[in-house]
Amino acid sequence: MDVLQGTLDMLVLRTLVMAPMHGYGIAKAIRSSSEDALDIEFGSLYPALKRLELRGWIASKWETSERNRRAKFYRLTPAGRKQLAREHSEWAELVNAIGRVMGPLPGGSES
Amino acid sequence: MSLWRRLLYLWPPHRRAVEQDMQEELRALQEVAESRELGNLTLAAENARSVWEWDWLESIMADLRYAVRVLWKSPAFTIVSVLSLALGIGANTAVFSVVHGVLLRPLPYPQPNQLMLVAQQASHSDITIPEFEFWKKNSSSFASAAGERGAGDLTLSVGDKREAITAMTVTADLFRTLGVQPALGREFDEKETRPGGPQAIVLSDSLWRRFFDADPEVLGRIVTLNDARFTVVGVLPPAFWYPQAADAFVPLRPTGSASDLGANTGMIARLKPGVTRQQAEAEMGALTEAFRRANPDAGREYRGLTLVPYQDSLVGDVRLNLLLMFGAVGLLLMIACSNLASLFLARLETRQREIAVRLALGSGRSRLLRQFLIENMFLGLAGSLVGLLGAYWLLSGLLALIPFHLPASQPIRLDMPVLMFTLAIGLCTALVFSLAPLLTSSRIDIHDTLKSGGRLSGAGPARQRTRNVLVVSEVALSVTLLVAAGLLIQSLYRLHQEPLGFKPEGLITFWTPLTAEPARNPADRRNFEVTLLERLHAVPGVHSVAAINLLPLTTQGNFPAQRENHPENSIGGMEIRIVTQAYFETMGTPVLRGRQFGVRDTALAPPVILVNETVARAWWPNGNPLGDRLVIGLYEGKDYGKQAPREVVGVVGDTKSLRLKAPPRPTIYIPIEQALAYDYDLSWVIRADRSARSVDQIRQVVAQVDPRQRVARLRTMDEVVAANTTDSRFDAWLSGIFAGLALVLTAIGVYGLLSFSVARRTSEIGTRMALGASPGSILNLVLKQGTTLVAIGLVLGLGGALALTRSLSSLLYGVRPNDWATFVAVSIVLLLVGCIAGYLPARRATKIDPMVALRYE
Repeated sequence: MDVLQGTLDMLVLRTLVMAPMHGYGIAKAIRSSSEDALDIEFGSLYPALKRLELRGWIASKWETSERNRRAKFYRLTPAGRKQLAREHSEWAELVNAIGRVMGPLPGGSES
Repeated sequence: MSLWRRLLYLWPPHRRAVEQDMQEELRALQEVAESRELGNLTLAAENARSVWEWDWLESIMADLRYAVRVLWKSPAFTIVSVLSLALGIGANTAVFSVVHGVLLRPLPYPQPNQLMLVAQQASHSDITIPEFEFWKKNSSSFASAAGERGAGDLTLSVGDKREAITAMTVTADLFRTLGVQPALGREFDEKETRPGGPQAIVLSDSLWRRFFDADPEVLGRIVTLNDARFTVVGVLPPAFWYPQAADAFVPLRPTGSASDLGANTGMIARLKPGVTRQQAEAEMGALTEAFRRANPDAGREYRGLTLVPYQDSLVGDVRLNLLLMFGAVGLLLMIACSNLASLFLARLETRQREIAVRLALGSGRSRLLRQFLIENMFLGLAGSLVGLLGAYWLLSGLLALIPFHLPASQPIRLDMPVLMFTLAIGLCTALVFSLAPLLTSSRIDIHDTLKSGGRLSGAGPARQRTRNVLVVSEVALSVTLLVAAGLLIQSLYRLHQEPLGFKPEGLITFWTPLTAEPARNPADRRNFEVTLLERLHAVPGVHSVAAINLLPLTTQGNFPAQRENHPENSIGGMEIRIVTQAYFETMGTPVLRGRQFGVRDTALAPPVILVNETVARAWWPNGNPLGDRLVIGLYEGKDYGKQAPREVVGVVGDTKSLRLKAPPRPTIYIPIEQALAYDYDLSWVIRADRSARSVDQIRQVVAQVDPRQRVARLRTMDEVVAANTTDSRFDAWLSGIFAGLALVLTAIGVYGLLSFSVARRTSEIGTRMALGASPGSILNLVLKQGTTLVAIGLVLGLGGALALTRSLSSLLYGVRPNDWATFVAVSIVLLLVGCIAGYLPARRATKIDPMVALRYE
């Protein structure tokens, strides 16, 4: 399944709520928490990280990982947390609205 | 926040650090993950970069680099464009500095727009003392008003210290009117500007520092000016500027005599806040009748006073001279601009292949247009910069050459507004000369161009049309400049043809101002004059020597006189010239009737007088003036300081008065022996061989007679005459040079156009020749193309010139702005230049080898 345009940023912010992660870790986390439904390519995730960083919603720092490897870890900033809350409620509203429009399909139309 | 971070990326070191950090991060990730899972990291990095990169800015930078490379590769084109732009922009910048400094910069007084010159309704000239006093008292539109009467050279002395200074004569309230507060003390009060009141002086800041060592206790000190004692009452602030350079100010006081009635006082008024010039003029007009009642002498034709904005009154004729200059350089820039546009079009034609390749490779059309615009902007900027350097030199030359007085309150230089102007015209020029070509290049057929090897394309004809329009407009602009130059040069010629009424060749002249101290009494004065005359005459090589109070073309007088018992024969403003016996002989002015002054006309002999032709014609149109009598100081029977009647003993030829452009004024001559009642400075004229015209020798002789006597304005009479034509000479030269440059540029334009057209039509011409066209008919074909364009431009230009030269009429002399001979001459010159410029390409066309030309395709 492809990720809807513009929702990738939100997914990244949501994922970083748990703990700081490095770039590849974020991709893996999204994949696993969506039970492999969302297969985010790193090539499109990485520019999103840079965009969020530029806006000041996430920050990065070089750290040593559990397997004693150096990697760049991203964490949520207070501004990012606020942004996530905003996007989260907008998202919930949108899903609700779309759900109301779509509803269950009338019987007999199934092919 | 985010913008700030993005701006940081523009800083190369930061950018390098970020890039390095990113590479490191991606490398580190490769160690924790499978490379298959990460995908294309190069693309990821590329996309990440685009997050912070400044797309448009970077692509513009890329375009700019490309532009520099392209221009660098065609140095001839680049140098020609930059230099011609620099020439045009430099000239415009230099002239604009002057225009800005003189016409645009407001006067350095508070609310300068409220300052008005109060002047005569008809002539805009100075007013009389009764007029000044009446309107100052009765007009309710003025917050304040003051009068001034020009500058005088005086000797300032305190103890042994002395200095020659220039002092302005002004009434009370002058500084209040201008809105200037003296730094020390005060300005003149009513008492000091009344006849017989205490004498006072206000010092300029520089005189106070120079002569009084900035003494703070200077107020109340008594100083001597010539031989009168003055009390220092004020010192002006250092930043104070007055239109006429003055070291000090002394009170202008009415004398109660005839000189009050001379139109010799300039009146400056400050309007009350909120009062417009129209309202004030209406109110002043309403007072005219009351003034006429109170001063019946003013006469029936008296029309009252008017207001002229003070800055306009200071600028006066200079405005037109400057605008002429500005217009000329502006036209020149436009011609240079169309030449460049034409050049650019030609270049576009040769870059056809490059353009097509770029289009084929997917470059957007707008991107391509932007590329050209950037190239041209780059040329425009380079032209501005080089032009600015040129303007720096041009301006100093211009300021040294401009013969008219520039009333600029601050030094004229390349300051901020001028720099902005230069930048603006540089970019505008680039825009203009890009616009025409770009509009025609929007249709480029990639396939055709690539197939044909980049030589021909569908946009060709449109471009050729644009180039035709450019050449036509160049011709039209040149015509305007040439006509203006032709008229101004003719004016100068006419001015030189003007009969002077004397022979300036071989004459040397100098002036002995009355500043020697102690002042000579009348007997000493006579003694000095007689001795100096004798000594000068004794110098070997001197043929004759004379002296006069008002040397022609330097000063003029203004006295009333009347024919005795004929009040209808009165003239209000006459020149009274006091001369020594040999004056007419020395000057070479003919005595037409009667006799000149001789030894018998002593102080005790019956008073005699000579009149010039103008007076003789006016008062004795058919009769004989000899033996008739004149009364100086009488006007229409009224007494303005009447003197004893004088008998007319001769009529002399007219001579020019103050200005070469003006007809001779009514003039009467009286012998110096009978002029003891007058105050005068003398100018001396010496007719001598070249060897005797030594400046040092003359100074020596004067020093021998009186070592304290100052000698000034020592020069030849030819120089005096030349000084009177400097404005016209400057205008004629300047417009002539500009017109010449315009002509050269236009010739280049025509030549370029035809050369290019011949190159484009090589195969066509080859075909024609193969089919039997003679070289003559080919020559004709090309020349006709050129002359047609020139003729169209000529018609447009002549029309434009007709409309524009009318505004030059006050600069012209002896020639009308629509002088047909000038228009015809200009047309012939331009057609000739068009033919000459077209001949070379036309001849090249006849040399085309049909075989080669046909294979060319």
